[in-house]
Amino acid sequence: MKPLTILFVIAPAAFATGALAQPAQPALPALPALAPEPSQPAPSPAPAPPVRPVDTPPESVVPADGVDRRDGNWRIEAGYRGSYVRSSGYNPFSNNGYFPEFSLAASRTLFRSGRFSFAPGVAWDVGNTGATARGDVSSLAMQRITVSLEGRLHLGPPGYAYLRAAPGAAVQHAQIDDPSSPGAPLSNRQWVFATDLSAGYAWLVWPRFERSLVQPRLWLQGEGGYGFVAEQRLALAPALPSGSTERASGIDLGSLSMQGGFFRIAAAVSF
Amino acid sequence: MISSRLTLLALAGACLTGSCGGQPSYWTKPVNTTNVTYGMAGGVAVVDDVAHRVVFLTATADQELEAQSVPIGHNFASAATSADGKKLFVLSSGDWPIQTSSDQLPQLTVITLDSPNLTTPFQASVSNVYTMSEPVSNLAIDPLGAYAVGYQGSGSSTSPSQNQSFAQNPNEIVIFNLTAGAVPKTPSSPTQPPFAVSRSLRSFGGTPQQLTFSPSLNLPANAATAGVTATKRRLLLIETNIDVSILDLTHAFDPPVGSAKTYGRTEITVQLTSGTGTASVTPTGLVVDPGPDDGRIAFFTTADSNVYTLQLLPAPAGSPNDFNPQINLTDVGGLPSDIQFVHTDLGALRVAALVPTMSSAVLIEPDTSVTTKVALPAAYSNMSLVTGVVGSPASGTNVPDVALLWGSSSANASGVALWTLSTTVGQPYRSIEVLDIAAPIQAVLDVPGPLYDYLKVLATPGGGGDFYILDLSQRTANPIHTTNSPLLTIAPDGLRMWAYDQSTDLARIDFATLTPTPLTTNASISVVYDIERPGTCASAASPPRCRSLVAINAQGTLGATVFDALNPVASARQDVALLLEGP
Repeated sequence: MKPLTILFVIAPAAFATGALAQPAQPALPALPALAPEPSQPAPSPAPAPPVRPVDTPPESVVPADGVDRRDGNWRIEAGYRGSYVRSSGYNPFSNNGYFPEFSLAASRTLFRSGRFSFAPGVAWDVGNTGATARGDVSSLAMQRITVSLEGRLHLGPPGYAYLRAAPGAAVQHAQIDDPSSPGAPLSNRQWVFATDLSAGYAWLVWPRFERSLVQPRLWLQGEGGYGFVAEQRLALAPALPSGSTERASGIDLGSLSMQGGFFRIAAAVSF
Repeated sequence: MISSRLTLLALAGACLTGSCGGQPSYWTKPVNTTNVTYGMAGGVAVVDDVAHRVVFLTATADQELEAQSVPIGHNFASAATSADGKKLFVLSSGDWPIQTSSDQLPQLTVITLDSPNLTTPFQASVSNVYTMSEPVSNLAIDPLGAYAVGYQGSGSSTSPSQNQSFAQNPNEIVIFNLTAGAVPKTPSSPTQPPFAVSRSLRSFGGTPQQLTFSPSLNLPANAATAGVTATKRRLLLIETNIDVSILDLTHAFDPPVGSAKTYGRTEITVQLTSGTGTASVTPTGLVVDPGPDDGRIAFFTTADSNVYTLQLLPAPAGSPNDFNPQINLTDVGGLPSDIQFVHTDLGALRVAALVPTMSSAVLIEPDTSVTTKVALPAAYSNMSLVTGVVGSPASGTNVPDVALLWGSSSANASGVALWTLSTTVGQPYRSIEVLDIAAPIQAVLDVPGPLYDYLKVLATPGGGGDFYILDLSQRTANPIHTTNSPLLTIAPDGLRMWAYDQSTDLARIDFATLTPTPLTTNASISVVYDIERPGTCASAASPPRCRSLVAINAQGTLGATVFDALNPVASARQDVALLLEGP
């Protein structure tokens, strides 16, 4: 809200400065910026017009050219996340141990001190993968919702580096379609604890040099880290319809832990 | 500057994406579930060649299946079970041809599935591994459990072609001594006596087609007359496509003598093709006289009307074997379809040959080749002896045999006949009783004893909807109607049978009542196995083992439906994706 407030204040101030060149025009009572110069003599007493009293002076009426507003306060990111999963439980669902995700995040800078700032936010990662497991079609989908706690080190015009910790939870849905299970694929859905620890760098793309200008800015950022996801037992069972009298046994594919190193590339808008 | 950083970032991402490592081959290769199951006494063995393992499925008291995985050699070739169903023999080709020191040799893996008592679950374990110098495709198991023979023959449908050698010797056989104890983990040579020996059969152009293990025989026959001593012997009889070979199994592991390099005694080859002609005949239907002192073998061919009878008499001095076959050829007037050694009155030994083209049987006196023709009411093509189960009025060792005749080459409804081989005045048989059955008989299934071994199950050709349960004691044939042509399985304890089609229909027929119990599954049935499970159950069997029926569904990664075989109910338990769980 602060940049917008400043914009609204600056605009009437400029307009009022131009009006002073017109002596026939009486001073606008609602322009508090036109305070009398202390060196000029006081005007002769006259009947006091109905002037609205001014309680407090404005914060500023001139843009502070020394303030760097390129980081903004709010930030929205969208990008691509790739994770490398080494868990043997992931083998039925992937040909290469790789898990792709779409990432969406929002954060707000709450605290600044010199070149450092702190910006908490929320993030959502969603992805799925599939393969053939011994001839069966298999798939694994995961959604991860985390609270990101991000510390930034501002390095000037090129951008800033950051460290991010993001605790949260993930829901995983594994499914294998085996023809020996007629009418109901084998599936498992489970919520598990998840946390990301990562470091990255954000590059300011545009506009880069209008440092005091208050407007949305576009960023590109890259990040690498490690994602922890709690281990879950892959006990898959036929998803029989409710009320079914069939007695069917499931299978145990061992343990799956979707943790591993990851990278994320994203585009962000700050304002 | 920005563009170069972005390029680096993109390159890093692409490199990472492409270097994630591959999925293990266990998951990438599809599972073959066709003809890979073997019924055993206490479970079902499933060969999972891709994972180099056999998965044993055993049943629990609440009709769940438990899986045990046992490793086997690379590239499965064939498998067979022992007669008692407690051992599985798995032949594998290894990583052939051997290219690195880590490649695996061809091998035979012997796996035991057994339980020490009625209540302990069945446990599978590797009891022996025999290595071989060359891969072979086929396996023959001695019904008495002393030997196994691997042979190349003309190849196997289950042998993967990519592991066959560029050049092979189809007459190569490997004899495994199953009673020699545990093979050392690191044998000094690929095939190490006394555990296994490899040899090449002498060939006149033929390749092994069928192997037969003889019962224990006292050889040579007529030893006392010749002034020699007969000793107990087991023989391996090898039918090739042009001749018959006789191999002394008892002496197969004797060390090479003199300059010879082959273990054991030289085999004897009975050539059936004249050296002057080009016509060849293929032996078939080989039978061995069960009398331990007779030393007789008989067979016929697919191309002539002769029955060949051999007696293994003392060999001349200096022969590699102490017996030598004396061969008689007897013309029976037409192409025989089946032969058996039978005993008529007073224990007289004859070879009975069925000649469907003449609707007759011919009795052959094996020493003199004198024949006696017996007219039959139909052109029966198959014969099995049922002497022990029909309650013959005679007793003692000289009981005349009773043969069950069945099958008709004309596929007409000829039923079955019981041929009693005792002589009465004016005719060479006492009686031929015909049981009229309104369908041709394709196969006769034996019911194991001791309770219902007088029953035979008569299967009709595909397309028919009936099968029959023949009661030999009452001379009745009870038809069982089915809506589709059924597949039939007799329970190993001989108390019930199962009929099923390859959809979802199944029926249990208790031999005590002959009442079918209809059942159904949710998945199509490929094959069923009646197996033991831990526990004691009220049953006519002794010991009173509990039993489960496992109906295999060969789709996907293999499923199964499990019923209580003694008291089946409709709500059976279904197990799915049995081969999907990790190795």
